[in-house]
Amino acid sequence: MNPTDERIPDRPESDPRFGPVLETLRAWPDAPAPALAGVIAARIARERLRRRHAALALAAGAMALLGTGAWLLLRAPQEAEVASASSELEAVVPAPEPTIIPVETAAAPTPEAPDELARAREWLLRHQDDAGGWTMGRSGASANYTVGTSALAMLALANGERSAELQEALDRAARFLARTQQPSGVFGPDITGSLYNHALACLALLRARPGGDAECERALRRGLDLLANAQRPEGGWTYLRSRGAPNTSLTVWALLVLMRAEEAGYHDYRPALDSGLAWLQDVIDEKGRAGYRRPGDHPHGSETLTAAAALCFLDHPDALDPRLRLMIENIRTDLHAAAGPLDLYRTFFQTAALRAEPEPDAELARVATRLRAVQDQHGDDAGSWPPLDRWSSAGGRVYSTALALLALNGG
Amino acid sequence: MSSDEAHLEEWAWLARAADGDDASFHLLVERYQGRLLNYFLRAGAKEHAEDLVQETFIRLYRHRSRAKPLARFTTYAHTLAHHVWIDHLRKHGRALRTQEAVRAHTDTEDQRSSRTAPARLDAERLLDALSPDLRDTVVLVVYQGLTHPEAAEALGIPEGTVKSRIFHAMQRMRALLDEQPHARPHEPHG
Repeated sequence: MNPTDERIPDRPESDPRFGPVLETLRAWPDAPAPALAGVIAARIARERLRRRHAALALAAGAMALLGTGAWLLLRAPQEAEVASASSELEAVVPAPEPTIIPVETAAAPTPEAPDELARAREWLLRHQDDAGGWTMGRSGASANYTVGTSALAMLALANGERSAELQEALDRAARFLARTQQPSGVFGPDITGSLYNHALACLALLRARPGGDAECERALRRGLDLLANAQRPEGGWTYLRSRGAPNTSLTVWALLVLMRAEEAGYHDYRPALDSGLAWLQDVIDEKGRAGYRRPGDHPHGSETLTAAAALCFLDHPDALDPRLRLMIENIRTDLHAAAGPLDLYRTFFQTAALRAEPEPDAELARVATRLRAVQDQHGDDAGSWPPLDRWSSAGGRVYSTALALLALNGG
Repeated sequence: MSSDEAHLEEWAWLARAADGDDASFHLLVERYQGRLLNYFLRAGAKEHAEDLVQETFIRLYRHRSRAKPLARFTTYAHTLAHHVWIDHLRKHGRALRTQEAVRAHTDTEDQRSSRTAPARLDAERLLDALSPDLRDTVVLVVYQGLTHPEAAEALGIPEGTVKSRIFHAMQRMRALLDEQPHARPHEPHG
């Protein structure tokens, strides 16, 4: 009889015909249990650290998008639909003179410099307004994005050890954000790029979580509801005023907020999160590159969106493997190739993704060295970072300082 | 403690881990590290087995807040382990195939050149003859003790496919055992 013609028993493994097979298999003794608890505990500790940094750096990178949105509004307010925020900016805004850090200087890792980070935090604290926010008047940035910039400063500060003074500053900032909420639920003014303000404000409120402040909690809940309700039927997000197709730039933002919300105990947004991740998966091609609206849609490059999308899958690696590995490799390659002017906007997404890797990445040390080399050391702005990349001219010194702090793990 | 009680306890540990109780997660590691190591070894991981056990626990940690106790905890743990193993195969598939080809070639040469070297036909050799899908299914059911529905859930396949995979795997391994006397004509006796 042909073996394939045999009837399949209900439990083939127990069929007497296969007795010798089973006997042979079971002769393989169990290996003794390894002692992995210590190793795993150490990896989990690193995992916690990486996740925190990834979330914060995502916020930072998104702030850069925010800055981009501000520029676009200033330059082309008639555009209701902004395509790829970063890439379009390249097309319409002349970049300032680049600040180039010699590669030789950047190559050697430097030790942590907590004093420099502390000075940066102090600079941010000194520039908080009485109302609790951070305005950007000195850098000439658009007031439309005070909410987003303030939220970014909060995120940078919230990552540090919280003294009483710092917690008080964060509480004031949280109340400031809550007061900017519109009747619609959106944080900040009703502008085309309001979703950037809104998402950053949600993230900052989730991060700061002033204990027992009912006003902030209510505002946060309304903000999260608005975000979930703004999801497009396709699963992604686009500009609040738009009914167009979703884009990766804003979808990444919304997903980040909903993921952090779930971690914080807001469990109502799981369906939105799942469908959003599904949409995002579909824009990532087999080479590990994220498109703007579809795979292969890279009107002005894929580096930033690839890094941003990868961050969304750090907590959901099963959803994307093996493309996530390709994305991480692409990020490493892109970052290594970025030997010219510093681009905080892109670099923050990239460094956040690399921080999720099990082993320290040499590119992170290079970035840290390059950032420290341009930190202001003297005068009123000592400790801060000048608006040195092509986007930070929209967000100003608060923006660049907050981004630098987050990038250096010391915000 | 019954098996059901053990699994309720394990889900409770995971829930406490989600609330920040690292000691509870440590208990899960202690209970499952040996089982998962043997899963990966028998699935074919060899020198990477311990790394894959670690990776499985890292994923469990990442999912601790989202995992739902809809099945026995061991099913959930093996689902994660299976995903880790599949990812590993995808990532290292070419290298693994090369190693297998080298090993097969070396074994054949050994058998041809030596009348005294016994061809090792044991559980590992039987499992090596299976495709990764069949092998994974056999390991989950025969060694890890999952029921067919549990293995189906862990593998993401219909229950009937589990049964047919087990059956075809058993057939293949039985055929290999049946061929063994001819494959080892010069093995010394006594």
